Amino acid sequence: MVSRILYLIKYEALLEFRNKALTGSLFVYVISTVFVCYRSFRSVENAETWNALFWIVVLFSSTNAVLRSFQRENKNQALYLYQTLKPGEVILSKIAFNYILTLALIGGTLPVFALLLGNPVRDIWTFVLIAFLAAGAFSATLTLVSAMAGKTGNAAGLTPVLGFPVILPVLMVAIKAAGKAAAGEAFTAYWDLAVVLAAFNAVIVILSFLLFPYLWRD
Amino acid sequence: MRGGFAANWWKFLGVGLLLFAIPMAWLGNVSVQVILHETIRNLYFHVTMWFAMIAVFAGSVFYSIKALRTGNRLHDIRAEQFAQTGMMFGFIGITTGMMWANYTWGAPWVDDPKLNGSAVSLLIYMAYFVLRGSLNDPIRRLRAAGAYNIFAFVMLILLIGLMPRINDSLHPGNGGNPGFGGYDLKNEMKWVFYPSVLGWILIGFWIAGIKSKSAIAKYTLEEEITES
Amino acid sequence: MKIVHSFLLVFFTGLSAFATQEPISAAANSTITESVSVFPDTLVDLNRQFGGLKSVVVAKEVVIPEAIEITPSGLIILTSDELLKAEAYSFEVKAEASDNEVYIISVRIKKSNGKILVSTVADKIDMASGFRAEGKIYVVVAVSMILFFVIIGYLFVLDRRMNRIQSEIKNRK
Repeated sequence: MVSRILYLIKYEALLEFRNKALTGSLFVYVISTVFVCYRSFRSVENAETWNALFWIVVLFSSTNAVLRSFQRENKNQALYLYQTLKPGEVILSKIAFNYILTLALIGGTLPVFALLLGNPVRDIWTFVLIAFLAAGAFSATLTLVSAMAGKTGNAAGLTPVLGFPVILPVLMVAIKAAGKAAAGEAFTAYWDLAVVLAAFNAVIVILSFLLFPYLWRD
Repeated sequence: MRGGFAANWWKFLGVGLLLFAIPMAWLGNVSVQVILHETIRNLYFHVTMWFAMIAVFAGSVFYSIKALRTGNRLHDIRAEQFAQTGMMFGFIGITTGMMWANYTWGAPWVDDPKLNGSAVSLLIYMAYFVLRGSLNDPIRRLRAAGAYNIFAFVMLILLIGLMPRINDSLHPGNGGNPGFGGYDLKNEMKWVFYPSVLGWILIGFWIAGIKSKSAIAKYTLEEEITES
Repeated sequence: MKIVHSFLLVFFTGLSAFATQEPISAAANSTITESVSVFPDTLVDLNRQFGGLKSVVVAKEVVIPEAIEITPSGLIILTSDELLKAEAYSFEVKAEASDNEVYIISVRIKKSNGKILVSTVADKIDMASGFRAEGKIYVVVAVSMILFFVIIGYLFVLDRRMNRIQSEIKNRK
């Protein structure tokens, strides 16, 4: 199963990078969003605002990235996949690939943010740890939700509508934990938030694994 | 009524509990609190709406699980009707809550964990209805909406469970707020509050049941028309 | 209306508890000057000052200084002079009076020139006790019960109608 998932991730990557302009568009999206923030705020003095802005940009750009995961393959490819693979493997590989993509987006957003809006993050490694955990929850939730929204033929319009209210608890925990990391507080004071984020990841992945088979058949 | 008393006893139980709880909500002794004064009686009316909402949503999720497992469209209809009933309780809860907040906290909307949780739950179920509305194929609708219902409900429960932990330290000044947390309820208030909660939950299930029967009848008739 | 009244009294005996008694002298805003040399010593007796207090409690969230102790009977006792330097302390206690009204008593303790000044202000928390006792609230209860009965009756009728329609559909098949 693991080898097949790894193969599927490679296949996803192949599809994604076949059209390099599309992959590049993700990073252009991030840069232009941050630039809009920069032009409207000039500089963000308040670390809390910086943090909130950062996570909102990450949320929107990862939505943008995940949206494409069910549009990449066409009908015939989907039919072929359905006949040869188990739905659990498909969703896990899609989540894994979107996770990598979201991490890459966060990796791209952070330096641009620091360059244009200043860098108030004191404890960078804990911030990165929180980002790793939050990216997992974001990508898994959005992958499952975009599979549901994809059924309507209007995935781009419906994914935010369906996904944002559901993702709110994750976003709140992530903003709070990352805010503490940015303020340089000792990790021992808020390690439970990181545990909560990890638990969210587990719950979301398990739910995706259980629910995706019903969305997969068509 | 079909099935007689044996099948409908819970409806009578709900009515009986509220027959006790509503007069006692007006007449019983309540804790004396500084900001709340006599409005603490809203606990019996307003707060119970949220409990009823969550319970009816749980019923909706139950039917969604059944619908996904069996593929039976009638269960999907029930899930939808239960979600609609839950929304009704939610809207009652949010309007009464805004009224209460206006007279105790001075504004209809304040940054409070319970308020945000309720707003999110309404958003989630509005999204659920949007999803249903944009799917015309009944099988696709059953699967996508059912899966979303289950997923969203689990996240909603997690959100409600997590809210105090996240919010308490976000707003450290709110600790001494007598509205929430430090309720310090009189014991006798609980004897009115719990029957009230259970009563409204049962009434909620009853309303949702009637709505389900009506929607299923409509569905069966429409099926007959398309067949003939 | 007397019938409604007595009916409610039979079923909700809690109503009979609204006996009217003399309220405490809530307006009393007094400043006492005393000097304390022996510990522990009573600073102020709230019961003597306001009269007719049944119990005094400190709300959970109120922090009182360590050197001060408050008894349920309304005595505020100073246990040591140590913490009471030049600072002023103020806190609130909740007191239930014999007329079943609840008061918030703000206490302020200050030391100056070797004397301890204590000022207390009692504020009544307004509750609708008079409204419930003489304000014919039973009428409102009766009206809300009629409302409830009608809605529930309507639900029963709807329920039966839906069952009938359901069985009609089933029989036709």
